[in-house]
Amino acid sequence: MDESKYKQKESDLVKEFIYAFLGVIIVIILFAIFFKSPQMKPYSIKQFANQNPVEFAQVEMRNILGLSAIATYGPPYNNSSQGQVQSIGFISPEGIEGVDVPVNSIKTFVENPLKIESKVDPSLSKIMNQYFYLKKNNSSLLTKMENNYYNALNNAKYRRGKIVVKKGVYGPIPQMITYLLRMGKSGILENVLNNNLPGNNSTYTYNYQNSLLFLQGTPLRNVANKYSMLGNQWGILKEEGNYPGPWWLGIYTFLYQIPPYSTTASGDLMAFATFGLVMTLLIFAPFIPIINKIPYYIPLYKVIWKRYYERE
Amino acid sequence: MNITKILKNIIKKDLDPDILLPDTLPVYVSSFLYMFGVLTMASLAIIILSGIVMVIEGPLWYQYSSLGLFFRSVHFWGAQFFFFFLFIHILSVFFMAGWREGRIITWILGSLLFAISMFEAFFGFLIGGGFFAQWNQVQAKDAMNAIGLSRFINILDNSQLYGFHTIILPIVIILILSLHLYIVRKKGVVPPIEIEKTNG
Repeated sequence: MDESKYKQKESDLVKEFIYAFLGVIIVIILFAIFFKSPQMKPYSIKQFANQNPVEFAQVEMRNILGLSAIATYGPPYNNSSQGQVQSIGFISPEGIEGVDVPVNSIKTFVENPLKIESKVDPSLSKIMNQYFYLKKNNSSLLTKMENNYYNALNNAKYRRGKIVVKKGVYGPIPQMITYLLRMGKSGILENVLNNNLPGNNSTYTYNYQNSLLFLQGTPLRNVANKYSMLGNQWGILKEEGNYPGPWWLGIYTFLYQIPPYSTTASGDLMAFATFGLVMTLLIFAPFIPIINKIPYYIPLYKVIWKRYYERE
Repeated sequence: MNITKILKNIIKKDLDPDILLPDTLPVYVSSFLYMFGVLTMASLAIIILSGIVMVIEGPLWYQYSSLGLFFRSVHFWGAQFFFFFLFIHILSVFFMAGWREGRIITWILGSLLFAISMFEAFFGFLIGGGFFAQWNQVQAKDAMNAIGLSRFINILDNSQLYGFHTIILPIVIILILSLHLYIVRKKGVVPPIEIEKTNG
């Protein structure tokens, strides 16, 4: 041990650790008692459906028409032609991964929940039979009905628990949406969506992917915006209220605030690659010219070891 | 080849208490900045202890129980202090050029710990059960998907996040930290820069 060639003084590392531990635990316990920790509840589909029924209907219509955030996502959820596969040059890890968490927006968020609901409500079975009949035998008419209703929702009103639109040819679509809205408002839609994941079942639910994917896009974005937690507002660093978030990710979040990261569709991949590069520079700092000379250019060590230098 | 003997020799030679727990230190170890390594470790110990209590009670406990909320708050502030101390520790070691005289591995392991801890702590934020967790899970999935890790970890699957946060990453961190501390003790505290120059 080369430090032995220097003069030694007595020390007690274990005592030092115990003192540090006691000191830190007292401070942390005081912080925990006086400041507690963030407790803002998550945003549920139930809240969304009750607070914004027309918007809920629009989200479901976008799922039907393949226009929603999840329907147009691309890999790893689906092969949507509108999906953005992020890449740097010809390197695209997302493209190589392909669709490994398949999500079909119509089946997952519309057809499956309604199929389950129709088991307890026979009048829905008739509506669903009509829907599947049209889907099989006259899909162009069905698409027209869906588009008609989606457009009509732009001027929809919500009166006495019902979405009211101007008269038109909508087929079974408004009734399907009414059922979905009812499921959403009661809170069962969340469970029905998550039960439909591989491995999850009505007894055990461990994966919340589908309910989170349902709310991604405008529903969660609107809430996040209210608390200035969007990505381009340094969102990841901001906890609810005045609590500090994971501020140590500051360098990473900073990238999302500036071009090209903030403007390109491959921003996530580029930001992660840059962050990886910064971490690599840190890890291998001793080998990197200029960086490994910074302690000599900015001689803070003279302050750190001041007492030692004076004594010598 | 007697594996038992080899192991015994390794333990005798490399796990010598005089190396692991010295009762003297060089006189140049006198700045308050030296405290930040041990303060980081003390915060980590508090995080681990509060984390163990939370794991025993399960991930729902701290959502409804006031005692659960207390432990969650200790865990939360523990992480805040951990990174505060860790940043000062890294900066001070950097400006001491702490990698000198065969201490490069110590630096590499330390920076690696920093990088892994950032993920570990962020995953903790994602299983907190609040709006921050929900919103950032949805946001972070885009980055995880973009770098092609969707097959490896589905960030919307809380059971996977929970496993990474409470088992896999803590084990990795404790292993690397043990090695980091062992080499710090074995190589000793880095000597002052000019002394190194005059001593050749």
